Amino acid sequence: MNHLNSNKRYSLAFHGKGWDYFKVIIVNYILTILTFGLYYPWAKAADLKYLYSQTSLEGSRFVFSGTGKEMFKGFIKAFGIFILLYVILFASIKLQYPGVGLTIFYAGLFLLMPFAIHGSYKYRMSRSSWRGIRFGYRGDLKELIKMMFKGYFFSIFTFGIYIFWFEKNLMNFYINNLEIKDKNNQKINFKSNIRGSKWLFISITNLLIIIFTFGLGFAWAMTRTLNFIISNIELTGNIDLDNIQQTEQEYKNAMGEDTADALDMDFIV
Amino acid sequence: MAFYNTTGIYFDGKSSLPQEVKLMFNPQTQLLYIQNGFYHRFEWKLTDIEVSQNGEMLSIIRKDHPEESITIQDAHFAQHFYQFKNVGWYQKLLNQSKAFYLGLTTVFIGFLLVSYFFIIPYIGEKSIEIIPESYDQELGELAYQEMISEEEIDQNKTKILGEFVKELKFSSSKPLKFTIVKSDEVNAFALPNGDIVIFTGILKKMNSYEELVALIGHEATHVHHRHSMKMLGRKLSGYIFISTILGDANGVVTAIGENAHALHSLSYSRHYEEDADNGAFNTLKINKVNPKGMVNLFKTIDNKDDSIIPEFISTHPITKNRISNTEKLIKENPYPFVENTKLHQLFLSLKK
Repeated sequence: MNHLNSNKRYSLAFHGKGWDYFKVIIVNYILTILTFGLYYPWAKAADLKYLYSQTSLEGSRFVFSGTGKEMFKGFIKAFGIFILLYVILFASIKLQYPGVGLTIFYAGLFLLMPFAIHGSYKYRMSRSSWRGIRFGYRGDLKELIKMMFKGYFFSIFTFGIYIFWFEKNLMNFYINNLEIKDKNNQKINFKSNIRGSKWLFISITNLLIIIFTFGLGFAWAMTRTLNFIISNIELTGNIDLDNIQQTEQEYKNAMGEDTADALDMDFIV
Repeated sequence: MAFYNTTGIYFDGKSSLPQEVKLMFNPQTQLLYIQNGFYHRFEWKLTDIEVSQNGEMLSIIRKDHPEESITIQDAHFAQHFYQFKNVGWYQKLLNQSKAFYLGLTTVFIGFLLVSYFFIIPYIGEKSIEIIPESYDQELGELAYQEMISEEEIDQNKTKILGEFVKELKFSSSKPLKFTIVKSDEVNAFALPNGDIVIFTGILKKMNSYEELVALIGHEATHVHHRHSMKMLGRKLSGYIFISTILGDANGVVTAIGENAHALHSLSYSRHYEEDADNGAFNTLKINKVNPKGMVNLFKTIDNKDDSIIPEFISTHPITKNRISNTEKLIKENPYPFVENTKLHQLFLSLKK
């Protein structure tokens, strides 16, 4: 029997290969362009499915069971919200109060982000499983909002340099709030060891790879990044890895997932 | 027909306990028999399950209860199994070779390039034809008000120029209005609504009325052929295309894309300038004015800067090329021309 004691840790492994991921990406890209963007939710689903299926814990792969259809509904809702914000902006310009419109527009976007990200994490985790067991996400929205506003503030003041630490904080927030719960309320927790400086290095070298390969090297940059992330995650807990009993409920609303994308937050994990 | 046997790992969806199971697939009944331990036996219909491939691994999950799954590491069994249960078009696509993907990527990149350099600009320009010319009017007037507010008009010279223009014939889809502005700039420009502005700087440098006719013809052609609007259409359509292609790319990549596009847009601008030069020649021809005037105009406005700025980042073709093109036009289209004393007199008044 395998035991997970408080002082025993299991690591994850990532098996994705550049070429295999490239195939997924190029198909996604071509179909998205040919459908003028409509294919995007399905592309997202295919992308996550691949990345999950290449991540393993104790030899068993993770499974992402979200679908393009679910995310498409979210896509439409997110699109609706953007149209609304733009309409308010243009109306205010026509009515000669551009300042009001701009304020509402940007405030709307900044406020929308934490909600979108939070919803996105919840949705994703409700569609994540390992050996048939669903994941749990216990992130606190208020804490996330605080963290994001701190992030906006410092990013502006450091002319963008803080962005890497901001991204690292978001990823760590996500990872550290993941858990696999047992029927008897015992838990396995995830812990991230990703440092801002390391993340900065990876991001910049990735950017160079992408630029110098005219974008074609994206798949390799991503698999490299995922290897880095996965090797920096630890699992700790005090229950038997072979004896976890199912509990979480469904979470159908996919909107969080798509609003987050539209606002250009790249969720690596 | 033979049965296919193998072993796998089964997860019942209630706990994470891996259970080793024996599997048997009967192609005739389309049933998968599963034996778990000594006592537990159950069967799954092919229609109740979904299969997915992960490298060498075959995953089987129940459609109605996807937490329940079986993983099989037997490639041999998998091959047989796929004959009866499809992995779907997507997986089949992903199974294609590297060569297939290299080919696909090349073809698609080719498609994007052809679109950017030919299809999109063509659409951009053609779509301008849908926009009514009344819009040119509005846009031009707005631009004129904006520019004129910062300049000083030479009212007297403007009047004289008006009389000068009255003596000339040109094809124009809209009435042209000429203004002379006091400035040392050696320049002139045309707006979509027919407003043409000429700076005193360029007037001072000219030596003959033929040069002025050439300049007027050049600017009038810009208006007549809706160059400003077409330029806008091309630039915008290209920009939208680039944004779509780069999608969620980060700031650096976007900036590179936009700058590359801006650079490329300059080449359209040079094309329109050539077109306007041809139009200028026609104006000279229709009005029986000496075409040498056009060559002299280029010599007049030429300055040393031209040799420093390489053509590809300039909005105009370099003067040397414009002169040689004009000389070619003169050689291939000889026509009789006369000296126009009235134009000459008016030109002298403008030079004062």
